[in-house]
Amino acid sequence: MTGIQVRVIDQASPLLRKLLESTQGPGLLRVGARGASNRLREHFDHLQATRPNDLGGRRTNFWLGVKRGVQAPKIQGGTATISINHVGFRQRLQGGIIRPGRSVNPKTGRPTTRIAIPLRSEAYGKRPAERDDLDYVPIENGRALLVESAHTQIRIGSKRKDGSRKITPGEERGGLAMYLLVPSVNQKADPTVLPPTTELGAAAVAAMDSAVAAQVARGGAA
Amino acid sequence: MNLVAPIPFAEALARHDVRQVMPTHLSSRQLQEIDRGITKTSLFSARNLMQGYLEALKEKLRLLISPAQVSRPDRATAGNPDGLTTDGRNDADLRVELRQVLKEHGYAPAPEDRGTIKDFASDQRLNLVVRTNVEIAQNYGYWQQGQDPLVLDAFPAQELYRAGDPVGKVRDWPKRWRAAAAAAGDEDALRVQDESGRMIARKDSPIWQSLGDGDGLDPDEASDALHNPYPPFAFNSLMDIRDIGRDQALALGLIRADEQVQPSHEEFPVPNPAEAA
Repeated sequence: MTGIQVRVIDQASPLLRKLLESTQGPGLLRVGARGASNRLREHFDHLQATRPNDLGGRRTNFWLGVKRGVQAPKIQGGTATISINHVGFRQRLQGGIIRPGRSVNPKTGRPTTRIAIPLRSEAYGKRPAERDDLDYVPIENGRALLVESAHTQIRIGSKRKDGSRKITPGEERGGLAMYLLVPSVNQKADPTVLPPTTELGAAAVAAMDSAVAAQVARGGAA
Repeated sequence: MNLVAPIPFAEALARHDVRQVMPTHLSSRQLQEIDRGITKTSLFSARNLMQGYLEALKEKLRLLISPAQVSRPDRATAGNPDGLTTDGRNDADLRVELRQVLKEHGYAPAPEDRGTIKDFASDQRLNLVVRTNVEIAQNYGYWQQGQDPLVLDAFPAQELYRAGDPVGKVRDWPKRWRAAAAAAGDEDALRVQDESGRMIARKDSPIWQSLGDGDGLDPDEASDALHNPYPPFAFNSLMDIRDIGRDQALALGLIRADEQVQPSHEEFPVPNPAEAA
């Protein structure tokens, strides 16, 4: 997650600059932050619509989650901070090395020691710990595979009057590599996950101009 | 653009924290019949009587609603000497942790329920519980921050739109909008829908609460209502709201130039983070 501050004074009209320096400044900054927040949310909607996961798995709606974490809470000393409260966003933006250990392996009770990269669509969006049918296969250099163990799926039916249940055998499965386990991942930075600063500034100024126009229309102080 | 430390989503956390854990033997349909003042201020899951699980759920949801920044010595680097890292969760993390809590409480579903929505440990059930509660809190936060009088001057209206593909049931939102507009008496909302196909209304219109209540729908259709004037307006719907600016609201005839849209308030008190600070 991250906070964002955008300088808007250079894009503001003389009237708006004057108001920003007056006692109305904090209120107008809050409006500007809302405007910039809305532009951010629009951008994340766009990413949601245009960046599905590469494996084609069931969507986790990551970008919708980022959008909902956008908020404009704080005015301090003439500056508005927009906050994006979502785990994983800053990593996408700035890239860098992802190391294990944040999560706990429920089977061992200890911090995880490898990053699990999904290899198939059905593995996407799920942690290996959510399955109990994976076999560990070491490869080399600290890497390993988690492979689906051989099994037959069954369906258990509702209880009959005599107390018994119908068991229906299903698909036989096994052998598919579901995850690649690696000691760390070096993710590239992606600045396109944020819109250009100029657009955020323009949205902030447009919002502040609207608020001023509303006050002027009502004969308010401006 | 400066990247700085994030700030907790205080309004979202306040909305979440005001909810009291409520174990219940009632079904989803039966819960709909309870006074919404109770359900809106309670954290529950249909037919779930495990107080300890619900308390753990409430605590863990905070980490998704507003991840915290913590200092970890093992994460310290030259560029990050304090080892600042995010202590948050994603949906998969929460599923793993909540299943562990269920296991610790000795939970096992009936065989015929395993893997279905009735199974507290199923993906379907956990995703529904986690997503609904996180979205209520965060969307309340966005909605609440939008009630500032000057923000209302700049953004006096909002639009209901589809933000993502629905999960499961596909609903007729234009129909629900029309029903809510009629129930709320918002003729402007109906007119805008007829003229443009878009679902836009003033922020202070009672249509938003009507939409949340499923007003104007038959009882079956309204059974998924969540009773909030902000998203989610129904389970798993992925419908969202976005601000509509003053110029567009004027052009649509939703406001007059000299008019001030008034702030709306939640039906029950949510502590104001600014006052609490």
